[in-house]
Amino acid sequence: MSIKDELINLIKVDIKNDIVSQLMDRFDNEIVVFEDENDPMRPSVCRDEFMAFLEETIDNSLLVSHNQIRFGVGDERKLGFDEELDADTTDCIKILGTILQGISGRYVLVTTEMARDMFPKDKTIYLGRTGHAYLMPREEYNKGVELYGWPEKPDWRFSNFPGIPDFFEQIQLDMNKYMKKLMAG
Amino acid sequence: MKTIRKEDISLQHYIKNYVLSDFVETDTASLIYLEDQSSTGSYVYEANSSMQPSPVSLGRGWCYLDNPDDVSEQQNAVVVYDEHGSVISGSNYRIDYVDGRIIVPSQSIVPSSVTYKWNYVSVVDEWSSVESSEVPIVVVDISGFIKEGFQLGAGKRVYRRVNLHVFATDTAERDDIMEVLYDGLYLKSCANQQFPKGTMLDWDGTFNSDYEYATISGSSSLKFENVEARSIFVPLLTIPNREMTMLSDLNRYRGRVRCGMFHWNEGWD
Repeated sequence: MSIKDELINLIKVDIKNDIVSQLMDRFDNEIVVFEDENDPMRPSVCRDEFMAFLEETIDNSLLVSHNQIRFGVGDERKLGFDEELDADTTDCIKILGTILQGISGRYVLVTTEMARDMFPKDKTIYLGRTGHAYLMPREEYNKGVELYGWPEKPDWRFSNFPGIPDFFEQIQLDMNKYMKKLMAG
Repeated sequence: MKTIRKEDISLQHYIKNYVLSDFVETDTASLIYLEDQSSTGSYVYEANSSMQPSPVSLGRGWCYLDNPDDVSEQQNAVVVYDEHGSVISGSNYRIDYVDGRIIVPSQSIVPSSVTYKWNYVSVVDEWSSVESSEVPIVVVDISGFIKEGFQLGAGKRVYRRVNLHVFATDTAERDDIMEVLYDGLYLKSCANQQFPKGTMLDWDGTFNSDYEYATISGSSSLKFENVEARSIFVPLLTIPNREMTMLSDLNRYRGRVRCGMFHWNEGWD
């Protein structure tokens, strides 16, 4: 195996595992600890999906040319960090994208399942989990409770959450470890 | 006061009084006597402003400096008139710059109106304060730090991560504020103040007459690096089209300016 192939293999396995492991540690320590355990769409429910998303974005972004190897982690359009949201995103990824960006104010998280009960005459509500969740300001939701008998719901636990702007930027890679492995290989 | 707090206050002072100095508005308002706030020897009048956002909402307030470099109370930013339209001398009243009030010591002085400069952009230091104010708002957030050596022996380089979160009323205003903040940080530095006798404003909103400008001995100024700015979109507010739902104005036009802030410290402390 050439050194280039070994390097690509190292990125696809060791480096990817280390990056995802560090990000999932932050996910557990800085996001999950704040979740509402009664929320059916709490972040920990999305854990596996988020982990797969991170792995997939590293795999998909790996670019190998004759003089460089590039890769990244996270997909801004699926997380919703970009002006245009990727239509192929999911509720979980949108929810986590919002948590990472932070939000000011009190909100109720409306998922597709909730929307079906809230808007029974609306036949356009998509039945799957493909990024249709959204936040409704608390005052607006309260009006719906009074006017339409919507169920009482607590504030989304991540209302007034300052976000984690450096989530993807505090990754520490032990280059010595990788170099040693490369040399040994 | 700990070093980080002094740095935080120094940075806020710089952002509010220097960087955002172009976002200062002028208003003229009548003064209303507040009987319940007054007592013998202290008669309180409040400005009745119709400005939006309110000049005295959280993080704003009246301007207490004529120029950003000044270290003494303004002489021209606030002018008080009596009922005949004559200017009342500044020695005859005190000003509560936070709540927009004039306090006179005697009932023989009756202020009637006031012309004042005020800060259009609210500058707050906590995310939770955003909801309590009105846009546009800038949240100054120092989120982490690293200390490392920079020479043999004593001394260290102190690096802190700074996020300035911008909440604006529309896209143009957001972009304006972000660019002003960016330009105010890029290749710039600000004084690392000691505040030996407190900050410029006292607890009651009046100017601290004991305020003394001094920088921290053995410390460099606060320097900025790696400045970057970007608009922020909140994905869960990108919602399916439904008449019942309204978007949040507060989170609609957001941006973030990030940078590293560092200084060098001599000595072992």
